[in-house]
Amino acid sequence: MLKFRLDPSSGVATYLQLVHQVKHALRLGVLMPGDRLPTIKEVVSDLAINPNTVAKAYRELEHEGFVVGRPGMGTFVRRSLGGGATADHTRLRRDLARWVHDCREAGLDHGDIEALVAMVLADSAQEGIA
Amino acid sequence: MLWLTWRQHRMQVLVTTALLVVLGVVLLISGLGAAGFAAQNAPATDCVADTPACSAYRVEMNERIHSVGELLGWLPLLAPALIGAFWGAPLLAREFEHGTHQLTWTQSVTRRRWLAAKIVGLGAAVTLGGLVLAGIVEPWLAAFDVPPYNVDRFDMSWFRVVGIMPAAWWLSAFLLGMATGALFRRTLPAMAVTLGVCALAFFGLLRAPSSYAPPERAVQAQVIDELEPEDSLYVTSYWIDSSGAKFTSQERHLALAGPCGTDETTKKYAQCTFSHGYRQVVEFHPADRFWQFQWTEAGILLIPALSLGGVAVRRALRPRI
Amino acid sequence: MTADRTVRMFGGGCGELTPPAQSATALEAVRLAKRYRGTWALRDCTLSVPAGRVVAFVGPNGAGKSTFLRLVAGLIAPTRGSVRVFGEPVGQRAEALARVAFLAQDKPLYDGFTVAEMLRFGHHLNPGWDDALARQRLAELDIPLNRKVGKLSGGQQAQVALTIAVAKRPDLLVMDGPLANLDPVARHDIMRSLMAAVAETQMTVVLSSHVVSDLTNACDWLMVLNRGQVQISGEVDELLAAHRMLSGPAELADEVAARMPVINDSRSGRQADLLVHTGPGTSLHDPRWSASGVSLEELVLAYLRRPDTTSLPRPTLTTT
Repeated sequence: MLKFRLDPSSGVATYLQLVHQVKHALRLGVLMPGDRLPTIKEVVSDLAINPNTVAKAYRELEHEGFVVGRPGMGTFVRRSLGGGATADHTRLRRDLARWVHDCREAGLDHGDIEALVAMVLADSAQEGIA
Repeated sequence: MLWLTWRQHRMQVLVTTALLVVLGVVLLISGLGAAGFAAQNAPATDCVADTPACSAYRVEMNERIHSVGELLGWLPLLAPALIGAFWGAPLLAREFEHGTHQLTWTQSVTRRRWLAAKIVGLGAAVTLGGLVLAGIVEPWLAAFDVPPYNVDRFDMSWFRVVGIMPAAWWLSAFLLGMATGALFRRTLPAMAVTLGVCALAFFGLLRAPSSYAPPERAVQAQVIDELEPEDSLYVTSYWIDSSGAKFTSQERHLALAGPCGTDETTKKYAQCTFSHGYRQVVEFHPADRFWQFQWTEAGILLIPALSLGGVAVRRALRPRI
Repeated sequence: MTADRTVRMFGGGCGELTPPAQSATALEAVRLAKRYRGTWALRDCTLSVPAGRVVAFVGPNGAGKSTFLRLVAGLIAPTRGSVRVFGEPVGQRAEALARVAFLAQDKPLYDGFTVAEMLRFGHHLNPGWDDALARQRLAELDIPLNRKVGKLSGGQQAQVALTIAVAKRPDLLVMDGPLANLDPVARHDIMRSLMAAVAETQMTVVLSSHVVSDLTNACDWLMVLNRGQVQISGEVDELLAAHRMLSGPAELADEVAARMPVINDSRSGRQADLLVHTGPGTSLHDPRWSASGVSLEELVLAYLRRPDTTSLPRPTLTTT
């Protein structure tokens, strides 16, 4: 079962944090289609947050088509997130691991690597728009 | 609701019941002893003449009744005071003190109903307790009421432990305690005031019954005359001369020192005073006023207690404006 | 100064995220006022809270929070004005009492009662009592039923008091400083079980505190009471969206203040930080100013420092 965590200092609205965490779990394969999300009561009795916030996050996810609410039963994952086959994931991950290794060899630290990734992602997004 | 009343006040109920049981056992033993003694030793004669047998019987019965009567004598003072302090005072004061009225008054029962249940439940229990006390004292007194020994319920020694007196005193004290608790909103001051007022009421009313009605008057008609009927409540006695002027015993004594001499104990002296026109007068309340006086005193206690209780309850329950 | 202008916000309804079943008004106060021995504890409070909300009721000590909540619970009667809960006036009627549960500040319980006896108390005094819910809650919290209430820890006592309030199945739960005098773990536990109860029963909750941070994630409606008057009443998300922290050159601050209400104005040298009420649809397109969002705590603090400023969700003429 997925367990949510809150980062009070992130400045991101609570319901968005929940949405992001579900999406993240979908990407990583932690959540698979057919899995049940924790009930609203389970989430709020864990995090001490307003039930409406969880409901809002789940509605958002439902709106985007990731989950489906079945009255009286719970909220279930409808489709996973992340393009490509699982085989591709394995290959790309291996490549990335090698690249990270290279970066370390070149003397980059954690922050440098993150900045580099963010920069490349931003550039690629720009290209996508253009 | 009754469950809550019982749960909150069961200690008082249990202790009071236990004390009544203890008293009942003591009175039962004493009463059985007296009955046994009377059955064996009561002189058959009516004891008009004071024979040694008569006086020995009277002395023994008197001794027996007063050994327990001493204890009972404290009851009219102590019992109402304790009922008021432990049953009445904490009833509302404890709730205010601990803030629990905020809990109880925000449940789905109106505070009026909540308090009504408490007052009716505990009031009934207190009244019942008082009646039970009278109910165990009366058979005990009856055990001693074997001629030639006479027990007079109208006597101030017993008046407040028989009939409806314990019930009236207990209920009034309970209402008084509840009212002081509602007004002070603190248990200890309410208890102290209740104890004080109960003591004041007891001593204030100690000799009051003789003035609950104009007494009857009996005038001496012959030299040897029993003026005061049996079981009546004696108020006062004095002398009058033939013109109707009032004399105290001493004044009459002085006035008759010449013609009748000074030895008052002789029959001759009595005849002499009678022939000089002096008549003894006794004021008393006849025995049939017993219940009238019981209800009069009950009214004297309950009317103020009920009004005070009403005012206090109204004040306590009103959402403060 | 323009900064003295009173700000009134329009709208403030429930928005499309609130299910239609909850669109009723849970709590409504109209010109509510309470005077104690010549001192006004509460003056002219008018506000309404939609059903299904968890309301953070904040304000400095002595602002009149307890008075307001006790009026809502029907413990005291108003000097003027009226309070309605789901359309019905509060007061000494069994039906009215059954709709509202109240948790007083020191969470009073009968110390000599066992936990089970406290449940029996709730059962006897409430026709709508949900015994299964109460027992399940206490079992989840590992609170032994046969223990005397007076022997429980402060946090456990608060949980028992909360359980009794919730098992009454009220439509509105009013809590006067439920977190006061509790350690951080107990505070979090109380909020967790409160939120679980809200998820389960859909009741409306009003809880007061003078610590905003305790309530940030739990509450979706904010009411601020200051000096006996309502200063803010509105949905948290809308309030946060309608306020911005602007940082820019001090010499341009007056110009900004002329265009929109400034709640808090702090200037140091050439730099000015303005907490402004942008309102819906208003924005500042000036590259010399940088705008950032505000936290609930910043917002409340800014308003509390300016008792003359209000933000209320009702159409009212702008006054000076």
